[in-house]
Amino acid sequence: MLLEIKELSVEFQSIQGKLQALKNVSFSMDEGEIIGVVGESGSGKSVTALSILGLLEKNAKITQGSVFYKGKDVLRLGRKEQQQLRGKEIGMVFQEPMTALHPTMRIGDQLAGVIKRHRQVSSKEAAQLAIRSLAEVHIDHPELVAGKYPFELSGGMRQRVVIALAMSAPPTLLIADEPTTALDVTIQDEILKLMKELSVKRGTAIMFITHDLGVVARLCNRVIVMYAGEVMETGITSDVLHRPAHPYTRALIGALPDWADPNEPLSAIPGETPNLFNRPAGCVFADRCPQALPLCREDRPALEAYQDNQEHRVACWVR
Amino acid sequence: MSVQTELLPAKRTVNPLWYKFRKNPLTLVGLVVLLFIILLAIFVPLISPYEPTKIHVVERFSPPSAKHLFGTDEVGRDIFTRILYGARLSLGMGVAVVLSAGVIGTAIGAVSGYFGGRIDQIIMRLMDIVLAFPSLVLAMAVAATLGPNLFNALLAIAIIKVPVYVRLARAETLALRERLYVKAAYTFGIKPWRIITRHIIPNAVTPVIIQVTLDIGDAILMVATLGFLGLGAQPPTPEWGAMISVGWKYLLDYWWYPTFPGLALFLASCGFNLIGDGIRDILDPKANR
Repeated sequence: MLLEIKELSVEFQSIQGKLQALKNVSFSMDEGEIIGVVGESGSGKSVTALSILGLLEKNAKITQGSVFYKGKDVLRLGRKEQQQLRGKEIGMVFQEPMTALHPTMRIGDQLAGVIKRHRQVSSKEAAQLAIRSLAEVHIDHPELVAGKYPFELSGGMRQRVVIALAMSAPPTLLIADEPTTALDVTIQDEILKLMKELSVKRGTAIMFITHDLGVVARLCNRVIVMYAGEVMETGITSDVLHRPAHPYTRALIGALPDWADPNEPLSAIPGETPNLFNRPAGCVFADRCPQALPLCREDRPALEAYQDNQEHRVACWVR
Repeated sequence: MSVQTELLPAKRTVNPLWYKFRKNPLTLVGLVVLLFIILLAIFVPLISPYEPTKIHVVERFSPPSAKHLFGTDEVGRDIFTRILYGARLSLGMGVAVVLSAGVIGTAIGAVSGYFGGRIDQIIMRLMDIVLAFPSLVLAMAVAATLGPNLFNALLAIAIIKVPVYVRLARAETLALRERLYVKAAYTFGIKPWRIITRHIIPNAVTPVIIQVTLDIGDAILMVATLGFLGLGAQPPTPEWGAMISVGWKYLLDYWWYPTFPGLALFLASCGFNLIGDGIRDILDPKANR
């Protein structure tokens, strides 16, 4: 097992009080696996990723749980060891490629800087490796692009550069936080193909954070559905998407627009996400759930196997 | 699969910086005045037959004439020559003081802002202490404590200028630290030292540069002030403040003696301020005039 998150809870301290952003989040990843973390805004997808990398803001506090990476608890590592982990073991790709690059440094220099940080090479070798890593993310004329500044590149090319940067160590785990959201559909497609290719070629595991179920269906072996900072359902992608067990997953799938029928109105999940300052006692989705029972409002369901399938787990009383 | 590389063609147009500079007449005036002073200061040995410290008592208190453009002082030294040698000193020191304060202050501010926490608190409180004193009084106190000479005057002015740069660089660093590319560098495992020197400081220097150009005029005035009070350059060094300090006693009888060094001081600090204003308008178009 590469990564194992156990009972992770994160709180944000704000003027209005304590906001519980994550509650008892547990899941694991194997080496080389591509896992999708889906959920709407505020469901805790990004917070999960950021806590793995120790990137949480100062007002955030991990109140409970642990994150094991290759058997080591990364939340309890020393500063030096954490620094070793970042970039070399775990890489990160951000949502906006427009702002994730240093605006006044040449692409090649940025890449060479990261390469020199993680490998014992001379500046000259690093520059050559930088050009090769640009070629690996399918950028034409890499030696030309290496001499450019970020503002001279298009969004898709910038995201390729960001991926090249994140992969330059190369890491064993890549966390991608909505890497294609800011890109248009054709570029999105190319970036997804590229990430899958790199994952297969190098054996890199990818944690793909997204709100796009279509992306999950194409890319991911397994999927984790999050809602209001809790894991609702996990399983093999095809199981979860074809036989969704949780009413929230069903609602998400139902909310996908049907391209074949342009006259059909867009369906949305009624209601609002619960108040995270004051979590409900029962299931967090109960207020919006069409099948909610009285029990759902009183007691929180645990994540349990669905129809005796140990891989497919769901946190719901209505099974 | 391959991607079309869309590269922007290289453009060669009129340098927009120079265009803006030219559009601002006052800045141009400042630039011309300063260039004039600087050129005179550089070529003064060729222009003037006199030496700045050679005493020639016979010609004491000669009024301005073709022979002595700005007249002579109480021991017959040519005031024009002394002013130009003084320009070397004043301009050089003004620039040196502000540049060193700028470099040191930026480094401290970037470190303070990037790491935050206790280091930040300690550094900023120290800076607050320095800022709490009226700058001139503190400079005088430091210069007087260290002993009245030119180098100590420079040190004193640099010390009182540093906090301004620390604050500027720190504020800029706090904003930059939240930028995605700085966070990205962090997730790539780049070391803090490299993030500060390569990611933060190059992108935080704009306000520092503006402040440097605005501060040089002020620093020149301060050097002269300390000289005037006897805490800076010591006679017979041809320093403007020191010259005025001796000369003002003779203002009523020999008006040229304190007037011309004062005028030079006015022109130089004014020139730097005008250029500073111009550079601020160019680098920071959003700032209100």
